Amino acid sequence: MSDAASLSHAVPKQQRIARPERRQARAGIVLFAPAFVLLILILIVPVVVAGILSMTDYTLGRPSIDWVGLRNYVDIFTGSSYRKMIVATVLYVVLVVPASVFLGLGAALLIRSLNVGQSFYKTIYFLPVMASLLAMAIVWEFALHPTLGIVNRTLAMGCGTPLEWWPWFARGCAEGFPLWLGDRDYALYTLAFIGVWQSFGFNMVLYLAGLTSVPSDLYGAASMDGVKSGWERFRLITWPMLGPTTVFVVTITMIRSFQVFDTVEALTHGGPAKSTYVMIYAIYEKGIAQNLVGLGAAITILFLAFVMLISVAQRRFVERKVHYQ
Amino acid sequence: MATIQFRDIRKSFGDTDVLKGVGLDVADGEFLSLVGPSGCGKSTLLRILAGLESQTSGSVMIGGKPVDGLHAADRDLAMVFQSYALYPHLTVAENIAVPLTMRRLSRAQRLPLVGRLLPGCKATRTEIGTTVREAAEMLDIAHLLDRKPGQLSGGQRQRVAVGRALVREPSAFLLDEPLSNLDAKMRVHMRAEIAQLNRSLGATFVYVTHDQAEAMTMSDRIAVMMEGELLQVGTPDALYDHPQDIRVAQFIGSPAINILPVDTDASGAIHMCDMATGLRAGGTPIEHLGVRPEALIPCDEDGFVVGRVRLIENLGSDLFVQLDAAGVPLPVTVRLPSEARGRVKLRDVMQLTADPARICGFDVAGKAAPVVAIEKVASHV
Amino acid sequence: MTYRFSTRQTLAHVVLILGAVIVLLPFYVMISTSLKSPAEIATGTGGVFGSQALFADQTCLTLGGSKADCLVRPVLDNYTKAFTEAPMWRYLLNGVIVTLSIFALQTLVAVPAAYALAKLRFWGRDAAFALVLFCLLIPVHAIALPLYLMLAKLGLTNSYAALILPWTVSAFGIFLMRQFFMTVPDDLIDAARMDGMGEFAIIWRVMLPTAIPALLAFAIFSVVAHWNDYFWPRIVITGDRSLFTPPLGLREFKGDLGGDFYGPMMASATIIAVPLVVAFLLAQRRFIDGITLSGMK
Repeated sequence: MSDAASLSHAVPKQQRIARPERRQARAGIVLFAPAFVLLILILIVPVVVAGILSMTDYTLGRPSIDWVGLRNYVDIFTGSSYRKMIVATVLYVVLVVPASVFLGLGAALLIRSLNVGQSFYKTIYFLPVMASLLAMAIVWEFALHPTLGIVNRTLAMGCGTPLEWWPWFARGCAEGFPLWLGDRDYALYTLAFIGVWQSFGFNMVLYLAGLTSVPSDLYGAASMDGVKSGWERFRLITWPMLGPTTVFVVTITMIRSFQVFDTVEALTHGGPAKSTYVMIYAIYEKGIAQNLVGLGAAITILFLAFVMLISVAQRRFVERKVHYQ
Repeated sequence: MATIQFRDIRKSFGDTDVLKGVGLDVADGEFLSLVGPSGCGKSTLLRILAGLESQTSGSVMIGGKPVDGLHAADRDLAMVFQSYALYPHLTVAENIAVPLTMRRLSRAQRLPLVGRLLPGCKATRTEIGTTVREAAEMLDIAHLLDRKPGQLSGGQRQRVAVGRALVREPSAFLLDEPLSNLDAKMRVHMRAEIAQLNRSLGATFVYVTHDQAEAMTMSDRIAVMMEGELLQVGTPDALYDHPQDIRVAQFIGSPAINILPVDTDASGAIHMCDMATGLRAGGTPIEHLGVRPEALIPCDEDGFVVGRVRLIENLGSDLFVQLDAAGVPLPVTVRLPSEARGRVKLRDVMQLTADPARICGFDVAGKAAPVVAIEKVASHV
Repeated sequence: MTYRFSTRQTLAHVVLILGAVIVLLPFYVMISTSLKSPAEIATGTGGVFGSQALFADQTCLTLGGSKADCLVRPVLDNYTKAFTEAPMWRYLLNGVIVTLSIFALQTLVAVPAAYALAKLRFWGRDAAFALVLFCLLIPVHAIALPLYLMLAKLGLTNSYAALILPWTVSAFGIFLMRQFFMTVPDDLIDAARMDGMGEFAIIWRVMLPTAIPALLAFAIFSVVAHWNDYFWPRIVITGDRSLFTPPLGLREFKGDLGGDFYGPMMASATIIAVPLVVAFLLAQRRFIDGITLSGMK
C-alpha cells in the first residue's frame, strides 16, 4: 500500500479550479441542452407551425402562400363532412371510454377475488395491449368478414334455435347478418368494439395496481362497523379509494381513443359515408394525402385543444382531490 | 498527513446565514469532532472542507495551502457518508477499488472490455486488487468482497465505506455522522474502532456528529457549533468541566447539567429564591449556575438546593434521582452511588450541596463567569 | 390452503373464461387461418389446424407448372409466401433498426437531462422542468402534420431519419428518469465526486446502473410502442418498400392482395405479432410494469 501514495502523486493531475456550485450549474445546462433543443424543435415548434399554417392555404410544393384568416376553422364548423368528423370522433370516445374503463375495473375486481388463476387471466387480458393493433385490426376484419368471417358464421349457426325470438337475430337469419365494417350503421360501433377489445386489459392492470394499494385494514374496519354486502364494501371503500386511479384511467383512455387511427385507416378509410371519419384520420387524409395543409393544420389545432382540455381537466381534478384523501 | 485550517468561513443562502465566520485549526493527526444540534452548520462546514460546496467568503487550507475552488477529488481527502453511499451495483471489492481506478487508470483504460487490453492496465488492476484485499483484511471484511452492498448489514456497509476511504491513503478523513444509521450496540462498537483507526493511521480525522457521547468518547478535541457559530473548541474534559457558554454546558453531558436560575445582589452574593447559596460572583453578576448531576451531594443542612423526590431511575451502577426544587423550572437531577438504593424514597425531601470548584456560573449573556465560595464566617452574619 | 367449491368463485371463473374467449378470438383466427389452405378458408372448414392436405398452388399453375409440381402443404405455403411475396426479413430488420435506434437515442438524451433536473442546481431548472411537464401533454401523433412538413422541407421523408428523429426526445422518458433519480441519495453522488468522477462519469457509472429497473421498464414501453406504431411510418414512408416497418409491410400485403391470400396474410400478421407476444409471455411482470409505466405519474 505504500507505493500507492507515491503513485497517485506521481501522476500529474490537471487541477480544476472552480466553485463546485458553478461547476454543477455549468454541467446542468450542458446536460439538459440537447433535450431542451429537441423538445423545442420536435414538440413546441410544430405546434406553432400548425397554428400559423391553419390560417393559410399553404400546400406542400407550391411557392406562394396566402393568408386566409379563420376560413379553415369556419369550414370545419360549417362543412357537413367536418361535422361528421366531430360526431364520429366524439361518439367513438364516448363509446370506448366507459366500456373500456368499466370492463377494466370489472376484470380487475373479478380477478382479485379469485383463489386460483389470477395471473392466467391477467396474461390473457393483457395480450391485446401487446399485439400490433394494425395486425389485429386486419385479423378482426377477416373475423368480421360478411361471408368468410368466423363471427357471422357462428351467428348463422344460431339460426333455427330459440335465439330467433330476438327480432334482430331473426332479421339476421332472414336477410343476412350485418356487414359490420361495411355498414354505416355498424361501422363505428365495430371499430369501437375493437378499440375496447384492445385497451381494456391496460385499464385492468392499472386497476389491479390501484387495488393492491387499498389498505386491507379498511375492509376489516368496515366489517367491524357492520358492512356486510360486497356491494356496500365496494361503494364505501373500493370505489372511493380507486378514485385517483379512475381519474388517470379515464384520462389516458380518452386521449388514446381520441387518437384512433390504425383501425380506421386499415379497415374503413373513414367510411362508409364518413361514419368513421375520426380526427386523426382527417388530419392524415386532408393534410397529407390530399395536401390541403391549411385544413389539416386547423384540425390539428382543434385536436390539440381537445387533448389539452382533457389533460388540464385531469390535473385540476387531481389537485382538487374532492373525494380523495 | 496534513493540518486543516478554516479562516473566517461564512456561508449564506439568500438571507439566511448558515455559517457566521468560523475559524478553526485542526492539528496534523488530530481527531476533531464537530458537534452541535442539527441545522447548526456543522455538515455545511464539512462539505466546504470536502469541496462539495463553496463558502461565501473565507478560506480553507489543507497542509498550509489554500484549496478554495479545488475540485473535491483533488483535495486528497476521503469522506465517509451517513448513508454510506456505496454504489449499489458494484461488489464490495469494486466499491473499495473505485477511488483507485479513477485515479490510477487512464480514461481509456477504464473503458469496459476494451480498456482491459491496453498496456499497463492489467498490472495496475492487479495492484489495485492487492490494495483492496489488504484494506478489507484490516477491516475484517475480506470474506464479503464478492457481495453487493444490498446483501450486507449496516455495520458491514459501514466498514466497506471506511475501506473505500482507507485505500486512498488520504491526508485527512472526513466523517459525516457515520454511525447514526447503526443500532445502539453496533454504534458503541464502531466508535471504538474508528478511534483506534485514527491512532493507527496517524491521519487527521474531522468527525461530524450530533451525538455528544460520540464526540466525547472519540475525540482529541471537540468543536461545539450552534446557529452557525463556533461556541467552544477544547478537549472533552475542558468542555465538560469548564464550558464557556451555557449552551455548551447544556449540550455536553448526559444526563444534562442542572441549570439553576439565581440572583446576584449588589454585594455579589448569589441567592436562589431569596435563599443564600454561600456563593459569590467572582466578577460579572451571575444569572445561572450549572451543576453536573454527579457534582451534587446530599447533605443534612445548609444545602442550596432543596427539593422533593419525584422520580428515581435505577441503572444498577448508579441511581439518578430527580427532584422538584423551588425556583428551578426543570427537575434537578442528582447522581447517587448504587449504595443509596433503597435509602431514597419518592416524595422525600432532600437537601443538596456541591463543591464550589465544580459549579459553573453563567452571566446574563450565557457566558462563563467565575463563582467563588463565601467564607463561612460571612454567611452567619 | 384448501379450496372448497364455492359458487361465487365458479361464477367468477365462468365470466372470466367467457371474456378470455372473446379476447383470444382474433389470436385464434389469426393463427388458425395462417395454417389453412385457401379452400378451407373459403368454406370455413379444417378445424383449428387445417387438414394440412396438399393443394395445388394457383400462381404456380398459372406460371405453367404441372399439377404435381405445384402441390404444397398449406402451412408451409402460407409462411413461405409471407417471406417471398414481400421482403418480410427486410421489414423485420427495419423494425429492429428503428425501435432500437429510437430507444438508444431516447436514453442518450433523456438520462443526462433527467440527471440534471434531479440532482444539479442550475439557472432555469424549474423552467426546464415545467417545459418537460408541458411537453408531456402534447401527443406526437397529433402534431404529425407539421412534423411531416418540416421533414419534407429538409428532404428527409422516406428515410430512416424520418422514422427515428421525431422520437429522439421523450418528455415522458425524461420525466420518468427524473422521478427515479430523485430517489438516489445525494450522498452517493457526492461520494462519486470525492472518488474523482466528473458529472459524465457519474451519469454513466453511478446513476445509470442504479436506474436499470426503471430504464428496462422504459425500454419495454418504448420498444412496444414503436414496433407496433403504424401511423407515423405510414405518413413519412411512401412507396419505398426497403424502408417499410412490419406494420407497413402487413398493410401493403392487405392492400395488394385479393381474397384467397388470407392464409399468407395471417401468416405475416402472426410473424409480426409473435416477437412481442413471446417476449411478453417470457417476462410478463416486466412487460406489464413497463407498459403501465405511464400509470406511475
